[in-house]
Amino acid sequence: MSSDESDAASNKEEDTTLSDDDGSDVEIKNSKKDRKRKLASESEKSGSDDDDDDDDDEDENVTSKKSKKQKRKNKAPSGRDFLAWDVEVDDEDEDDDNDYDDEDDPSMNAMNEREEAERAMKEMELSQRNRDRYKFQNMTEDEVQKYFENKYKGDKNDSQYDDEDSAMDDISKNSHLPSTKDPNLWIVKCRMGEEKLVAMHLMRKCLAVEHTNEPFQIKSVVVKEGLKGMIYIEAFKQSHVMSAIEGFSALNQFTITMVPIKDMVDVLRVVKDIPQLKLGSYVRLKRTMYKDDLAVVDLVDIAQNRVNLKLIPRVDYQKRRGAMRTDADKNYKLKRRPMPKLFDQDTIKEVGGEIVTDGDFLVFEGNHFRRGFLYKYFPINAIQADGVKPTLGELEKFQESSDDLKRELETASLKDTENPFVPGDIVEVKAGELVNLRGKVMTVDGTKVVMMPDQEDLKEAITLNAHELRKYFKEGDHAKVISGRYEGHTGLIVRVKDSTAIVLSDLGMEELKVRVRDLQLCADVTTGVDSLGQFQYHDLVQLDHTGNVGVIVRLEKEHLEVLNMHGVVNRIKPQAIIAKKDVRFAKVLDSQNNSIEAKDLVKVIGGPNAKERETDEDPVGEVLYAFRGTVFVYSRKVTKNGGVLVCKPKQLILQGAKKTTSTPMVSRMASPNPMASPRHSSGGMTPRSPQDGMSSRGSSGGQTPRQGGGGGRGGHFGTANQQKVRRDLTLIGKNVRIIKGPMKGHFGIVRDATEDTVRVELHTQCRTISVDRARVMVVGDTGITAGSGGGSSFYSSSKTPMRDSGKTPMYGSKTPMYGAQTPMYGSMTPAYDGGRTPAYGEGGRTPAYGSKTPAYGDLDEHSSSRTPAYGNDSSRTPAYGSADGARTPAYGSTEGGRTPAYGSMDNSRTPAYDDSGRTPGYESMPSRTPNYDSSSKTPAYPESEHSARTPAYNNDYDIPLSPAYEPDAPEAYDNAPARTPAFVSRTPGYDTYENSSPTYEPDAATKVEEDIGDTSSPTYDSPPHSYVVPTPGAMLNPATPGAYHVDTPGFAAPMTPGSGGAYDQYVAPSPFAGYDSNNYNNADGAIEQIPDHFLAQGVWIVQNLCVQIKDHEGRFNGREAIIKDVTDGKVDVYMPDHKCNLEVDFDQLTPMKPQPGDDARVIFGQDAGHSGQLVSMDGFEAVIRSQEDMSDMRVINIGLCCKMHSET
Amino acid sequence: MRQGRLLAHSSSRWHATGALTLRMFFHLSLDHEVCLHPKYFGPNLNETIKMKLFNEVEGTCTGKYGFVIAVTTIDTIGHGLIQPGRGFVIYPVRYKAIVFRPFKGQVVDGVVTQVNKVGIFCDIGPLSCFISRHCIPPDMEFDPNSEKPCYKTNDEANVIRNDDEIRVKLIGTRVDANDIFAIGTLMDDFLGLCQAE
Repeated sequence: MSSDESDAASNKEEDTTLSDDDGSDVEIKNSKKDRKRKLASESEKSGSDDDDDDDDDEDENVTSKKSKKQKRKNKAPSGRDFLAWDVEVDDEDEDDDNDYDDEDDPSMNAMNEREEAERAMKEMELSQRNRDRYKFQNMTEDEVQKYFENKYKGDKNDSQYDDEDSAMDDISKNSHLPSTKDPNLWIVKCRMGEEKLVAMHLMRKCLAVEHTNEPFQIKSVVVKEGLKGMIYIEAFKQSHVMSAIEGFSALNQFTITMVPIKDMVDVLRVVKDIPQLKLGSYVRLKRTMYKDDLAVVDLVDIAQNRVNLKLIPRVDYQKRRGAMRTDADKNYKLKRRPMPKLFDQDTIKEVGGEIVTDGDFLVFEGNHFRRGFLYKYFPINAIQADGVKPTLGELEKFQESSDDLKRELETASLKDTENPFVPGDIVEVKAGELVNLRGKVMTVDGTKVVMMPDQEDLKEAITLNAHELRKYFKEGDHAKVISGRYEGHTGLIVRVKDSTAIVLSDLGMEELKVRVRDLQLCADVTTGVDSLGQFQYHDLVQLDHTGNVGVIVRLEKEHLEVLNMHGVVNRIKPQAIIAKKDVRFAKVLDSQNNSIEAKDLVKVIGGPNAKERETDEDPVGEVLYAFRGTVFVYSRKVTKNGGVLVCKPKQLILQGAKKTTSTPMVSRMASPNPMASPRHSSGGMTPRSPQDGMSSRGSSGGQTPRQGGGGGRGGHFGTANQQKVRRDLTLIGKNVRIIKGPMKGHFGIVRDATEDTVRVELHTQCRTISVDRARVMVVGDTGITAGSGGGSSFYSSSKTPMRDSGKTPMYGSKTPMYGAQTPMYGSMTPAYDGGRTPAYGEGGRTPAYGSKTPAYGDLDEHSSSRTPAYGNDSSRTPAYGSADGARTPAYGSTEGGRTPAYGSMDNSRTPAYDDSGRTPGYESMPSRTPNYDSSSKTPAYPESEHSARTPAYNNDYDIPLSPAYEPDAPEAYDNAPARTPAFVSRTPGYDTYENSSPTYEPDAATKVEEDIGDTSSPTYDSPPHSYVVPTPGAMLNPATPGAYHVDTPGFAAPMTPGSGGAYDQYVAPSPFAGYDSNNYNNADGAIEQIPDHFLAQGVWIVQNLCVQIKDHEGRFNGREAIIKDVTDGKVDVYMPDHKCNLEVDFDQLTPMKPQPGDDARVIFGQDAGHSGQLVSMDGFEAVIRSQEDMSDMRVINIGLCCKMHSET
Repeated sequence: MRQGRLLAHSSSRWHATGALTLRMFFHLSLDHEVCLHPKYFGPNLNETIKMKLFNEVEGTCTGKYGFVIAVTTIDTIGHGLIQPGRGFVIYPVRYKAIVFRPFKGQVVDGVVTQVNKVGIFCDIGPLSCFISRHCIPPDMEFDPNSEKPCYKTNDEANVIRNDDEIRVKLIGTRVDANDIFAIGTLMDDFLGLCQAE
């Protein structure tokens, strides 16, 4: 303001009355001040002292700066809070004045003035308090100064409105409104973008033509910022405008339109974008120390363009205040803004701050606090109101209690809740005339909602205010929670009560209580919130570093509920989770020591989660995770914790498991596979074609374990699954050809091989692929795939060790592989030096072995090829070997079958056995027995395999048949010891098998050896097949199959009638059908023959038998010999003709037929072991009378008898 | 030959309109693809396909058609399509089946399978249904302490416990891809425990 004016004003005021300065504006005080000064100076006729001069000067040259300085200079602390701030200067001046007054003027006058002033101030205060109580409170002096300045500037221009209130302003504004007498506004179209340029041109033109004859008649040109393509020209007439804009190419002269008078104001109205602020809404600060802080709108003062915000104060508690302040603190500078923190009264007091109360507010340093929050005015343009999305964390801080928070969370809708409706919602009118009318929202426009009533008679849409409506849901509606704590969940509405609905979440069986307005009909079925960031429903997560884990049972916005190992649900934030846990493969043992792992079905039989009553059913669930000593089980039936139960493994039992611990093995044995596999192999065994055999064998081999797994219910019994895949070293490095599949025909080198697949590095392509074993063939093999035939046999034998885990099913399939080994045994034989024991053991052990022989024969001319090898060895060998090979099964079978005879039926034989020179062999048997028994057949095995067999093995290698052999042999070797357990484990298999052939059973019990024989019994069927097959070998010992049957009456009898397809098969095709048990039993009219293999086994050989030599040196052939001794697989015989002793092999002996009167011994058949005098011959029937018991007369087929040398 | 009980027969338009047509069983013509291993190719191929169809279809649930109760007839077995690279053959089969598709508003009988404080679970044939506590008449209260947990009225005139037969009105169904779940209510006339007949 200029001093002149203010002087004038004050004079004027003085002239009128002092009472009229009751205006509420602050500036009045100033004018009053001026006036007072004036008075003071007037009363002080003598002039003025320096101060006064200063004042006058000041008055004369008032500039903001000066007066500020002045104020600063004279500033003194004052107790009057409000006034001291507001009109500090006045006070000072006043004081000064008063001083002067006191000195120079009648005090009365001064008092009056003072009273007046005070009264006026009070009035002002009162009037102001409501509106802007703290107007100057937070202003710096600069601001105050500026404020006054502005005010006075205003005064300068419109002094007449100086002390008018806002009503006057309105009137004055109205008086400014354009009338008809005023010039009009004309819109002139303008070239886009040149509006301002044109205006400038017009200005220049105006100046240029100002003093010509034709000055501009237009009044003004207005270019509105942001308004493109037009300018406004103020003029009385259109022609004036026309003339003014003549020559402006950018302006269109022909489209000049007038703005209607009433719109003129609008044209020039500056629309300020004032954000719509509502009480309680969240805003952010754009400036000041509180920049970016969240605040709640407490009060909006549009007129003053400011809002009172509630926010978390940032008070500097470091700075010392008041009395505590030291010199150092004066220079204290805030380094960075203090952290937001609720106002802490105590701390403030500690640093010396003074706090006064104002109502329920605390006032500190001019700021008002309530309940820790700062309430402060901010200019409206310092806040950002749009798009404020407070985080939950921030919101939490604004809650004064946790209850508050919960309520807030449940009810709060962070978005604009002005109109929660969207088209398609079903709504109900909740107030007004139309109350309870339902309808569907058609459109939404701001706070208006257009809805189509759900009444037939009301066909027109109705527009209603949003607040008159509420959402309407029926029970059974499928809805989605669109906000609040459960945001994102979907579910079926179970119940609607008042404004809350109970929603049965789709995710689990929990019920959510949700406000109706937070729901939205949801046609599509979503699974609800099932993932939050990286976490998903039912994830296993690690909660801390001590190994605590939990399962996520509920996901909420920004929170997770985790069921920990102790069965407690914690509500945590995702950030608090350390990691997800991956324990998919973990296993634990349940109460029955069954292994359980994820995805297993278990029953909860103990612990807190078990059934509560006897009558209940045990809860059943699926194992989600097994982690250390804790199992998380998910049960659909359980409603709590999302259906997740925390259990100890011992409280569980695997669903479907039997109660016995031995279950696994037995049940595995009981599985059909042992039976099935032979069938498979039988197919494979059929001699038709090697390929056939291979393929089917391969498949059976492959299948069996799988079946086993399936039968055993996955990872439970399926020990196989737990087995590490074994690497098959034998194939690695071999050149193979792929013979099937898409890569058929490719050659490659095996890089890695397992039981099922090989990794083949292709020659032609630079890559390595996995190929099924059955699909590759080792190059150089003749039609033998790596996975079959000899390959598979060794292969399976390699698998055998696994069997120790009781994988019986595989057993059957494996059987054929044994066959493959047999040749080795045979080949081994030469190494035997009479030490039959191993052979014996083997023979007895494995009918399966026998079965192998055929495989052997099958594959190619192995047997024949082998023969030469044997030949090389010794002429005898081949016979032996083949006999051995062939015999083995027979033997084995014999053993199995014979055993009964042994044990029960044929006592006589046993002694004979023992008596004869064979004893050593026998002795080895008993010794073997314990071995077997103890399941450590191993000793016998290694012995045979490594010591004895090795040479043979080597032989094998040298000979051409090796390719087929090769792969197998080493494997067989390697695993030989390991195989042993397989045998043991097979025993149960036998038991089950037994059921089908009862005759077996008693035998099994009788002897341990039998056990061994029996154990292998499951493979029984397969051997016979192979037997039949082996026909090639038949040449060598054609009797074998027959022997098999005949040998084991106990066995053969039940078997034959009860024979399934498999049995029939092998019986039927047998070339030696004549020898099978049926024939044997019915063979009255023919000399029975003892099967060669039996003879070759030499079991029948006892001392003093009379035999004929065959296949020996010419001079001995056909001669009679008397057996003297049997040692180590060799027989010492006495040749009466040559009067010499001779050592021969079993198979070089044939029994001599006894003649009537001779002593005879039955060496084969039912009565084997019976001995006595041949009393008479009736056709083929010999009557033998026991020497011990003369009454014991038996009729025996002559073919089964052998002459005995009688000492007498 | 299979013959299901035809409780309702509706061939083309089978959706229930409102509460008026309370049909829940439908006889529908449906399609299914049977995937067959080559080993079944032989004289019994058709039989195998049929068996496989029965196995694969009966007892399943599709969200759209509901539970397939029984296949009544097999209309056509289309030409098989060999799957490249696999050898399996897919036969499109068109068959008629009786399906059970519950709808909102229907009243059905079910067997209680579980009773707890949240509500009652019951099985309506293959459909499992939940009756929230809020949908059980307020005069029936949960009694966790009785021998079997139950909902009962104060005078014990009305007791609902496991294995009881109850009559339920379905108030909502949740239809998933291969399951249907229903919620029901007992808050209506004649609902609740079925009196033994």
